Amino acid sequence: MKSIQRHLRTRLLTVFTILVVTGAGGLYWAVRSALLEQFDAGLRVKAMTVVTSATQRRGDVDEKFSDKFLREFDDDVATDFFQLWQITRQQDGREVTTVEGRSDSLVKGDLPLEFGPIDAPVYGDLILPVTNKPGRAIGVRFTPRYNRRDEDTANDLREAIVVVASDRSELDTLLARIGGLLLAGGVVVLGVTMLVVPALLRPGLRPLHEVGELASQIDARTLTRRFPVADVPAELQPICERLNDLLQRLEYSFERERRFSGDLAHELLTPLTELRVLTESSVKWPETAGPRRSAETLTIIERMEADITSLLELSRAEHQQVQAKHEQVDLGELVGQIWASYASRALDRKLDVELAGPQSASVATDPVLFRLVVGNLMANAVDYAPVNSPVTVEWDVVEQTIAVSVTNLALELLPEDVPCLFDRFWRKDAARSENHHSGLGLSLAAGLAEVLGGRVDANLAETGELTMTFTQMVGAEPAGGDTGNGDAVT
Amino acid sequence: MRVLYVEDSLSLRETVADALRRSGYAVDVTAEGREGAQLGLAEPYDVAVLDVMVPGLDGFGIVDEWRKAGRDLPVLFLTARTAVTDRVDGLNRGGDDYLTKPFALEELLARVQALCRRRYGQTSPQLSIGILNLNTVAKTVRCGDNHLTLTPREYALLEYLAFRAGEVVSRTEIEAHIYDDLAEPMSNVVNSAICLLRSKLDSAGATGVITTRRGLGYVLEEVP
Repeated sequence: MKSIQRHLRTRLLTVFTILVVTGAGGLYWAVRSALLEQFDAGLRVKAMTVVTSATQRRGDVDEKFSDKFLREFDDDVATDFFQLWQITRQQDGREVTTVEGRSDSLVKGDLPLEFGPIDAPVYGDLILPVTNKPGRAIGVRFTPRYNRRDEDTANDLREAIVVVASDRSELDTLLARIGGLLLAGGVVVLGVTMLVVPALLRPGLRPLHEVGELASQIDARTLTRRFPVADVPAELQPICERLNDLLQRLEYSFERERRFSGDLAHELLTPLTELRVLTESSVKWPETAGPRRSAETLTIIERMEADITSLLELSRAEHQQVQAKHEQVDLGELVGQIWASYASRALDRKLDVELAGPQSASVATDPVLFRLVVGNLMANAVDYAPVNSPVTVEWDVVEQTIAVSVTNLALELLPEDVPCLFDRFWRKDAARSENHHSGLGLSLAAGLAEVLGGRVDANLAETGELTMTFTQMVGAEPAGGDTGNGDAVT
Repeated sequence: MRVLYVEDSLSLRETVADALRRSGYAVDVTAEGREGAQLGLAEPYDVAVLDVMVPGLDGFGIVDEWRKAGRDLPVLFLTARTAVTDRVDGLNRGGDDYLTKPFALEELLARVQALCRRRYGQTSPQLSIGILNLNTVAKTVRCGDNHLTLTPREYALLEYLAFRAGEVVSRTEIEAHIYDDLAEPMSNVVNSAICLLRSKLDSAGATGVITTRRGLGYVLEEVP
């Protein structure tokens, strides 16, 4: 499994290792270059010493070098060596070199003939003859000194080459020691880093671990938990806020499902219980059976039938098994016809009803589904509006959209109830005591509105007025398809 | 025994209350939770049957109020919520029993009877006082080998006295536990009922099992 901590640790250690290696390597190279430069400077001095000791007279080069002051050139010390050549130009233009001198330390050995002009001598590494130790040499081509009053010499100037070599064992030892120190130091630093980095990462990653720990404890029973937002690092804040938002929605959905299950159980099991108890009582006490009890049983069965039918219709609507059959209808006339079914109930409840809309507006819709949708909205308003209160039904066609709205007072509703209005079996009365409504009407209205290619919206004003609005675009494509051969909703 | 039944479904309220009465219980009914809570605090019920989802104050809320007031009235919850968590919640909230809908009427009656027995410390459906033997499930009374035929009210009265055998039971207590609020009990109703019961017991050979303690009440006890 991927681990941020392991990933960070590996990356940090890799980068740190590269930095340490590069740094140590760079440092070593810089020190080496400086020491080598210093060594070469020493070689140059020694070479110049030999150069100044060389003279020429009438085509002959000679050196008068004394190792009394530079004992390193002596054979008993033998850490420095030099060899001097004279360059003779042949008639054919070739240059021939002849050895004119050696240091005592060199004995009969030869140094490599690699040289450059005096302002750009050549340096090189070699194995020293005689001692067979590692060394470094400088080769210089120069014109030995001569007496300027000696015209013969001046007319036949010769050039010479001197190569001076020194033992670089000590330099190499020093460089090795420096390298070793740098290597050891680097290893120690890396080792300490490997211990320190995880310890440094741990507190930094702790908030991440805590969020992960909290997330692992959340399940269906603990959806009320929330992630801390105030005390987490800025990088985790948007994640925690988003998680909290998702948890809230999940909690709401679970609560909604639980509520739906409870409501469904109540709506189906209560009438079943009523039927069972009535029947068992009639069996146990036959004298209680009679027309009244039979009528009661029938009422319960009819109520169950209505609920089950509504549930089935809702299911069919949701699975797009209901197909709308659009035809041209007069909107005002249709709304009036639907209202006629509820007019007497509204009268009984002394509702102050207002119907408002264009008298003639031809629209395309499925009149059966339209009746079910708008009828449910009207039934809700008529049954739940307080006695003696106003109910308004309005309809219009605006910019190719049919809009039918039903408004009534709903003082017991709260703003947080509005999203629940279309939940199946939701009722404001948690006890579900009044048996006339099962809580499926608005769900069915919303489902069938979608089949028509429209929607139902609810708006609760601060005055306590609830407005349910059904809208359908006149040219809207029905959700179930309009083949004319689909199942009709009865 | 007197039962309080709180149920908002009119059909269930009427049918179950009728079944309980026919089984010898005095039954008071209400469809509203707060009224049910007040009745339970005010009247000496033997058992309460509460629908969980009633308007006003739900069944759990009713029991919460009773328990806070120190009322240990046995409670049978009725509900459509069948989940284990709901049942556990109901029992943890102070219920003594829990019946999910739909339920069998016989089971409801048996559970009410069991709660009544436990209320008076009885673990067996058989009650024996001397030669008297009551079967509280079958609602039958035997006196030796003789089977007594009693009306439901007479049986309820005898059963109540038998549950409290050896104790003095006042007339007020008899009125409270045998008669529901549909009746208007007057003092001679209890006297008449005792008188009728005594005569049936005497005829069956159980003479003197019910004695009067003047000014206090009645006692059912084994005749030495």
